[in-house]
Amino acid sequence: MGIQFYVQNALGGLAYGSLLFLIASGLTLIFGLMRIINLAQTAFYLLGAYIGLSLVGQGWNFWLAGLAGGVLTMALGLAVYSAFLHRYHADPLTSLLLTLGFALILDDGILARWGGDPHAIAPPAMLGGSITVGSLVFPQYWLALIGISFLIAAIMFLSLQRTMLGVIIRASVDDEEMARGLGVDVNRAFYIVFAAGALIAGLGGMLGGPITSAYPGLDGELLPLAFAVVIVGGMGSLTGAFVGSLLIGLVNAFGKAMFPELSYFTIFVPVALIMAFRPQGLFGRKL
Amino acid sequence: MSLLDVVDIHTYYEHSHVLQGVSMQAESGTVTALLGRNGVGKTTLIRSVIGFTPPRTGRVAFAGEAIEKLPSHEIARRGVGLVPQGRRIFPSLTVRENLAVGGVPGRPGRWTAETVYELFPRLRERSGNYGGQLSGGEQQMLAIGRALMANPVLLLMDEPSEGLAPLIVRELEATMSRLKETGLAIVLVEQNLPLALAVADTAYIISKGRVVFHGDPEILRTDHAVRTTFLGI
Repeated sequence: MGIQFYVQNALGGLAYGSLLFLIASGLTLIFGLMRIINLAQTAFYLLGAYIGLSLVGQGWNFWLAGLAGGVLTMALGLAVYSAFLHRYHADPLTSLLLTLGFALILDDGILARWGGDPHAIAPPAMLGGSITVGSLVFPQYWLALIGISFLIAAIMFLSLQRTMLGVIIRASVDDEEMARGLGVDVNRAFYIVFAAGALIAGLGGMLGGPITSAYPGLDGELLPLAFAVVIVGGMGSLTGAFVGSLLIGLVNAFGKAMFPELSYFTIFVPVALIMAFRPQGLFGRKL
Repeated sequence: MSLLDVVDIHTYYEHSHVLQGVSMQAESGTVTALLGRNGVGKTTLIRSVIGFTPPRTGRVAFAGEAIEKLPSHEIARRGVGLVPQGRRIFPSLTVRENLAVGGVPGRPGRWTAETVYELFPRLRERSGNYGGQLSGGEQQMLAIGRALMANPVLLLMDEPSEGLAPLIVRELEATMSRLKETGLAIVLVEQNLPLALAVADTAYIISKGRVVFHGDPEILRTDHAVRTTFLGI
């Protein structure tokens, strides 16, 4: 195992971690703010991927198709939130069962509309090639995905740290009741955060598609990874989601390469360690 | 008509009947003290007014309008400020950001971040620090400043002296007197009887969810029977 092995897997792990961030960032913020465990978050990812690939099939540009997939997923997420979920914030059990129900409905809807065969999603033509450095070969698209995810992460950080909406969201994560008592319409922040979570997950489906492809059951495979990220990073922490995603992505890549028969197990080693020694996660508030 | 008029409210936590028909009033430019032993319902009364724990029956009128069915943020936006028990500063927000949240109702008036910093110069020095990094006294200043940012006409203060050093309590007393002079109505829940008697214009004693005394705080200074019976001192 030379340097090539490490660089290759590090890049692959960072790329995979980048797509995990697009799912887990929404998951952690939605939980931190509204105490809703959104089991439909990876179904949003899958839906975004299928909408995107259908649009590409009709001749749409990759990026526009991804954006449209994100926006349509957001519209569906908002419909679900305003019709059902908004009544059950701070009621984790009910909201968990509701989102599980919607995940199952989405899964079956996807199966009925797009069938059971896996669909490959090609990266945009300009990023379809490989980069060769010495004996090292890796897809250009990996670097593009890492770059885009970092950009989205930066936008989310700045919105949270530098805007009044971000101040209100952080205040509400700290102490929702107190924020209400000071005149903050916390429900408005709930809608915005849920919508943003669905948008980024839906967009992530297309962006991550060239790596994960799209097939029924993909959402169920991604969900434990996304939760591993949230647990490792700390619930409600965007920094935690970012660091946790890259960490889980790297552990996943190296685990698969070095102990392929134990690949699923290796993910949960950091989770078990965190739960034993730092149950609030790397960046979470003390429980 | 009083600025705040609480009429015969009954408030419950689940099945526990905490307030059993409480009525009270508060007027502009005065301090109304709510006294009583621990666990008699003083904080619940504050929570009923701000809408955290709305009364199941009874009326709460503020500036002549019924507010008991409004959500908390609507009540706050009408001009009810809250300095809660335990201060409840947002720990992951800076001092400046804590004040900004207080200003969300956007009510114009004398209080801005600048005038709050003039009232509490220490907060200006700490403006970039996070809420979780402040001392108890600084947190109390911030809790008051944050509530003032909305330019309230009624300020609910729940045990502001709790955990503060005697010197800081004296400053708190001076601050409350100044706020009263601006025409603000203050409802003050306080365990520190000397502080409450020093600033209050009228006092209520609550016992087991009911008002058992209402009158001039001067009586409490002199009437030992009332003090021992209801305050245990």
